[in-house]
Amino acid sequence: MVRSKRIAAQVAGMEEPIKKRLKRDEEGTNEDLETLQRSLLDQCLCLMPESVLIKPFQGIKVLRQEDTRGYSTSYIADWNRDRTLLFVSSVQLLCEVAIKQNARGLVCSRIGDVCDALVRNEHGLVDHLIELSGHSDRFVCFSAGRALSAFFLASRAHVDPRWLDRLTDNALSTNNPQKMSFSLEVIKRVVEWKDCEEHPLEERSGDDRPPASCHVLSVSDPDSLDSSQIKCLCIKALEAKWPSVVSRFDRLLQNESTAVTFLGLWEAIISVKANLSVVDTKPFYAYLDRFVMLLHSRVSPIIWKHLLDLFNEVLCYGSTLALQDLLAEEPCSLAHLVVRSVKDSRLLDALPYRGGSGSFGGGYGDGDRPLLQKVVLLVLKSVAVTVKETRCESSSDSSLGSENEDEDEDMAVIERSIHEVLRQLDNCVKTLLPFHPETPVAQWVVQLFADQDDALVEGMVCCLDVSVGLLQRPNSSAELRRALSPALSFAQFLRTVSHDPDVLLDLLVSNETCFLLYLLRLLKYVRRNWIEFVSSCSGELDDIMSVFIRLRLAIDRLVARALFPYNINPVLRLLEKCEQMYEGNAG
Amino acid sequence: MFAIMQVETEDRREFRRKMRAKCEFVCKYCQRRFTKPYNLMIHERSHKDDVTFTCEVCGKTFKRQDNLKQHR
Repeated sequence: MVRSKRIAAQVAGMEEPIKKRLKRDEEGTNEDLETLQRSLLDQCLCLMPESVLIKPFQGIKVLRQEDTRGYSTSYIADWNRDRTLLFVSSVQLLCEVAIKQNARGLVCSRIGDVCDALVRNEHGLVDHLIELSGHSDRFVCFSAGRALSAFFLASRAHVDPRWLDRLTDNALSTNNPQKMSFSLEVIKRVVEWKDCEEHPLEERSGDDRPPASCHVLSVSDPDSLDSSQIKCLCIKALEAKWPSVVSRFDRLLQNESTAVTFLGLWEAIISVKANLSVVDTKPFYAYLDRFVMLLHSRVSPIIWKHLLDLFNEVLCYGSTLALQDLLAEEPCSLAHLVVRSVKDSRLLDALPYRGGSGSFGGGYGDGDRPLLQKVVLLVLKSVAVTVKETRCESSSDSSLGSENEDEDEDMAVIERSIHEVLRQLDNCVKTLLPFHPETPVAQWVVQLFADQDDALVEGMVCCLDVSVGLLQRPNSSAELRRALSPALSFAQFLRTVSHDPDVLLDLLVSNETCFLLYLLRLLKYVRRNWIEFVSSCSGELDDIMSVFIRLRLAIDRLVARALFPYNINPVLRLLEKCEQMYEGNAG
Repeated sequence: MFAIMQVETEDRREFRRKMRAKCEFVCKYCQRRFTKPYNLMIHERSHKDDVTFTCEVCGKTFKRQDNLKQHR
């Protein structure tokens, strides 16, 4: 960002007249802040008088007061609620405009100057915003949190680690859940920040660029586009306090919204989408076991959902674990615990599902379908991780000279346990939703997740991998093989998308689901198990192959015009092979 | 049943040593390790924000480049 001491110098020489004008404004309007906001929305501060620009920042002076419960209330001295809100939201807007302009490489020089003055903390803004976390008005508290996140993101590499220490201390320094929520929420927003974010519905027009009269500076600093450093600093600051934050969770449960914020932050840190290094996030994989145990207690459905989201993020199967040959210990131990909890402790019986149409005695609507979807996905991922880990270790054992019989025996033991887990899952789903008793898991998975494409595809990958990993042995269970049949799953999926190859193409091009992985593995399975695939598809083989052929032609066309965004050749080759087998079959 | 998997035996340690040596493809975003380059490519796609293609004339966005070309 552009650096300038100009504003700071002018502030020193202008105190007296500004004070007088401040007094007048406090009695009257908030015109100064309203002008500032309007100018920011126009992407330029060049036409704003320096005195008006700097005045609000000089006016902030935070006072504290304790209420009857001992909670500290902060307020900006002499400012009413509206002015405080307007000031805090102006800070947020200023930082967000600066971030966007930096990302585009053209910054209004005055916006850059004001932002630099803030980043140097010349006005003690960080402390003021943190103080507002205890404000009695929740709108002020919320806005101050948004402003602080935007401020950290605008500061990036210039963030002083002591500010982050103050923020994390604020989470633990009092028993006020509002303050803890504030600190965790600020960090969460930083961790979740996406560089170059542009909403697909946000149509770009000339309105979001500085006007022609603006003195624009061109910025070509690659660091200005990279938020990884500030994310990492936040995580480091939180790491030291993490055990204390976790230990307070039992108390947090009394304040559901703070508990939800805490779980949301945890999930954001673990998420692959946060682009954080596994080395930096490793400390946050501790304590998960303790939280699985909470699923047995009487926690509310909303906490259940957030716990399930967290565990599903740890078991990042479709994006990561399915693609690795050496799985990290933490997701494996979580997967084992979930499998054991379902098998031995009847975890699924504790699901706080609110009656849907399939429940005993009727009900209405779909009940708590998202909750059921989350728990089903967690169990499927846990099973897939367990099978994958066993296979990897068995193959390593055999390379070390162990007997193949031992390996087979290990897999047989695992298969019996997995069979029991899937039996309980099947029972649970069919008790809560009106599926036909004979519907196999492979089929109802597609029906259950029909409205959630990412979970749908990941669920299908899990079923496919478990089927391939567990049931290729000669003595494997025929019942389990049918329950997890990849052909039944795929046939049901194609029925759901009306056999439209364009849907498959969209899923392949987009990175919102793991469909590339699914299709690659499915085609490998079809190639290796052609006869079994043909017999499972029965009357639907022609429809399925027609989709494959039309998909191959569509991909061919895109590849020929160099419009496919990545190397799709492995999929193309497999599609061609399956087509050849189909033609051979027909001949 | 899963007790056997959780004990860090000498064999398991040896397995991890061997696998670490095999995992040559490291994700530039999260430093997770993979044994095959195509697997790394699939994984790295999940780190990226979904790409959209915007029409310069009307601002409409598309998830597929061919759809944008058709729109033009």
